[in-house]
Amino acid sequence: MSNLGNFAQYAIQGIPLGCVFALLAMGLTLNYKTSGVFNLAFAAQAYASAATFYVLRKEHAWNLFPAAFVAIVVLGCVMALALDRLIYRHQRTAPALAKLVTSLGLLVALPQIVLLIIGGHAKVNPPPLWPVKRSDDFLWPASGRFVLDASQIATLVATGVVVIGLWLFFRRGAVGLRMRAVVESPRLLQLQGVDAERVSRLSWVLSSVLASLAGVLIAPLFAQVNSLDFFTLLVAAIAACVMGNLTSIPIAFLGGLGLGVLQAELAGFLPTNSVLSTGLRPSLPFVVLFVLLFMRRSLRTRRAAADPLGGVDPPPPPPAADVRPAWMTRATHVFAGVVIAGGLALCMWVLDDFWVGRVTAGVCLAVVLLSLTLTIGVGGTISLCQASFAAVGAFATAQVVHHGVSVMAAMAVGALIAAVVGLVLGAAILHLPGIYAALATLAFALMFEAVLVPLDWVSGGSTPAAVPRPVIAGIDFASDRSFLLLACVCVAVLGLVVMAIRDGTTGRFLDAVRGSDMAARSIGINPARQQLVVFVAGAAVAGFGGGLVACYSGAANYPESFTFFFSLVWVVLVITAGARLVQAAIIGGVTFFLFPALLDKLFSWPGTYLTAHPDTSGFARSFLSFFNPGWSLGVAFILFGLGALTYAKHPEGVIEAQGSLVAARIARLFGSKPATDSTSPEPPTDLRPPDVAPSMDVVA
Amino acid sequence: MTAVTTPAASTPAVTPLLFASGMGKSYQGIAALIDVTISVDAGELVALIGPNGAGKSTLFDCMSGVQTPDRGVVRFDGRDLAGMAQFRRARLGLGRTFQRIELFPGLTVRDHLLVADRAQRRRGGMLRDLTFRSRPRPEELDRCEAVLEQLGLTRDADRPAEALSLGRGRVVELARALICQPRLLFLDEPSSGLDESETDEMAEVLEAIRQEREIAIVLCEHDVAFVERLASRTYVLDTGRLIAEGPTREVMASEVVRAAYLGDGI
Repeated sequence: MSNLGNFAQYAIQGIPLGCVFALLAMGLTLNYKTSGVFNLAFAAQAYASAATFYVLRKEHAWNLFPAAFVAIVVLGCVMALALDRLIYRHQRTAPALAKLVTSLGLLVALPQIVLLIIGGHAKVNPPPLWPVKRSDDFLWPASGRFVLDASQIATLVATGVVVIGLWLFFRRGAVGLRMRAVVESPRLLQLQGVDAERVSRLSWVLSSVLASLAGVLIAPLFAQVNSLDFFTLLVAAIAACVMGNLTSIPIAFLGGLGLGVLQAELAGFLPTNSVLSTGLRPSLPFVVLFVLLFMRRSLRTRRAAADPLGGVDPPPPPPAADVRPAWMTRATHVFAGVVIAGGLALCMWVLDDFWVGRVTAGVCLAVVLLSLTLTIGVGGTISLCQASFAAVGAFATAQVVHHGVSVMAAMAVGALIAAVVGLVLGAAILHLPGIYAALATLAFALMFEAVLVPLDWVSGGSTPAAVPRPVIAGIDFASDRSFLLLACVCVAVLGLVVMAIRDGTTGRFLDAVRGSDMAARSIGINPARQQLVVFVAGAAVAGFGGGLVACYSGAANYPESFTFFFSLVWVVLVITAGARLVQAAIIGGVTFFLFPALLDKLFSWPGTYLTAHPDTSGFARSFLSFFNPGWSLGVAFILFGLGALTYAKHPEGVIEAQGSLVAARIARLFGSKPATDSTSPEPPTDLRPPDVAPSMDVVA
Repeated sequence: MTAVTTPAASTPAVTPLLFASGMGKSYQGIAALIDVTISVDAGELVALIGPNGAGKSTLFDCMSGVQTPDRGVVRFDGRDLAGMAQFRRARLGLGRTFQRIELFPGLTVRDHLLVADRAQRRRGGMLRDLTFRSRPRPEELDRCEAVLEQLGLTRDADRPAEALSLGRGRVVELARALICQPRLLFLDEPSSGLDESETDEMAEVLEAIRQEREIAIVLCEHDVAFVERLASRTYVLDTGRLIAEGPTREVMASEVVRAAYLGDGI
């Protein structure tokens, strides 16, 4: 009897949490159905709204309704319209993966923008969406077993209103139908006399407000408003969406609800200190997402819907390599050689220890980024767990070194273990269509962080396990300068490996698979196997890179170097620079460390000024204190994140895109015609006006 | 094998190269294929005709492994193909082309053939890539040139696939299938979207490769003249059922076919 009572009690505790999952899940599904964008950035937006609500309500002491209106409706609408108009409208017919990359970029950039605007101070005890200050200021019923606090009641009420509202809205039929038609083909819908832009804007606003609402509602559950907590919310919502196959809003709603209840039941019934309780409970959404993705056979045969009028888009511009005459390629190589040699000489003899350290860290990171070149650029799999592979490599290196193995050998062992982890994960998920595979890697990364990293046998205890610098053939690489040379050798060797795979048969097979999966099968290529091979190779490279990073920083330090958030930033960085280019990985790695440091150095004067003139006040003070420590990293992440927005236009990456621009300009300067003109015997058949946006033919 | 017969009446005397019997497939209760049986002998050119929605593409997909049939057995060269993945069937010697053209954008025509040749011979492997032994070898290039020349593609060999016209694209698909040295080719509407002269060329090419390479070909077609010119035997599908089979000329002349294919009014 009491067990049953407990069960009911936990269920009631779980329903409000489930409602929040459900709200975000509905927003995600609605948006995916109507815009084809699986907008991961909704998590960031939920955070933005929660933070805004906190600031208005607690710091500016606004009343509930204006604060809620601004944080949820105004912010939701503004963001929706901005995203739709500035970004997604231009990629409506882009493949789902291109849109996913864009949303990834926003997911990285938005929280940092929020932090810059409202400040990075701790925001403890977020207020509920109810006219009281704290959740436990209002309880209903006042006593008894099934007491709900203010935030839970607010959640139930808000969810009820939303569900009834959406139901009434979609009962009107035509709107829902039009919304789905926009995804299939906005052009066809326009031909039917429907304003596709308006329909899509409406769906953006709806789903965006849902995300904002979910953010404000869930905030009181956490001790403070912190963007990372919202990723957990995101994964739970994704799991709910997958239950509904990314298409069914009612099932997504029920899935979210069920997940919340299940989590509360587990929290109640599992013994508090057991492995299950500490391990399974926080990872429940990931586990559910994983099991779902693994079990859904129907997903395996799904093909992305293509716009029937997609063929009217002109073909993408030829890659730079085709436009560039041979002499220019040679010149580029010489130039690159000079830059690398010059950079190294600078590091060896001119720059001080700080800058050499930054560059070395960047070169070590470049090895990890090379793994993304393999996985994303060659394999076409968006992997959001590359930092986890690097962490596996780093942990393994640290533990093997402690058994007296030499450091380089330990790094090789780390690569091997990361490859095994990659093999298991890849075998489980690579049969899924691209977007689901990407989500599964995200789930894995979060599960790794929440469940595996705290385990001692994985991470080697709570203090980061030390990794010494190697001594090879009597040469000690203890100093940063000598270690830089070692790291450069590693990058060069692995860069060659990546190029060999990319330009070799494996790369060609995967080019074919990317072009047409069905045709590739018809000539005897096994796409899953090719992708798996490259995924595993990527995991191995990441593992080796993780070992190198740990070796450089002296310890396998998970929170410093390998959190899942880094995975996201790195993916965005590599894709922006050029997913298929080895030089993009290297430039990306070095930029990741040099750019924030440069910003810091350039804008160190406001801090110096403030300490010298402590009596500065007013606007000057608030402006100058904007440049507090850490702002540069925030700005860097924002720029990296926003860089991903260029992906839809230049799937080949900015380096390649700028390269072809510059090449064309130089070629014109010297009066030589681009190489393609001389080889193609017929004039181009493309008679379309040149102002049509290029189609998003894609690396995925 | 002389008169137009009702379905499944003729049992082949020798083991045919391809024998698909009792094929059935339905989508959410709607039957797309009902108990269809066809057989193809080595080196034979057989056509499969029928109105839109007759189940031709479904039958193709079930035989080449793109879809799994609900019922029925497909035997190729005496071997049961049940549950075999599409790429494994391709390696056994079942080639195919597509109704909606499926090329590899970014790859040149020659690359298409090199990739197909390697995939078929299973000469991939990362180890080879890592030891820098993945450049095309002379014998691979020779095989490639031979096919290019036979299909008149030499001129376009270094052009990217997306720069080709639809007609040339179809020829590239054919070349890509041919270099895999198939023993049986499924051609899904090879003449669709082609103009008259291109259709003529395609017919000549098909005739030539059938004779020179002794490949069995199954054509799925709408163009009656094209079928009459090429196919020795024809199967007719209508609403998922086989309604006639036999020598092409007799099948085309039969009342039941004309009624189904051209409408009841004739």
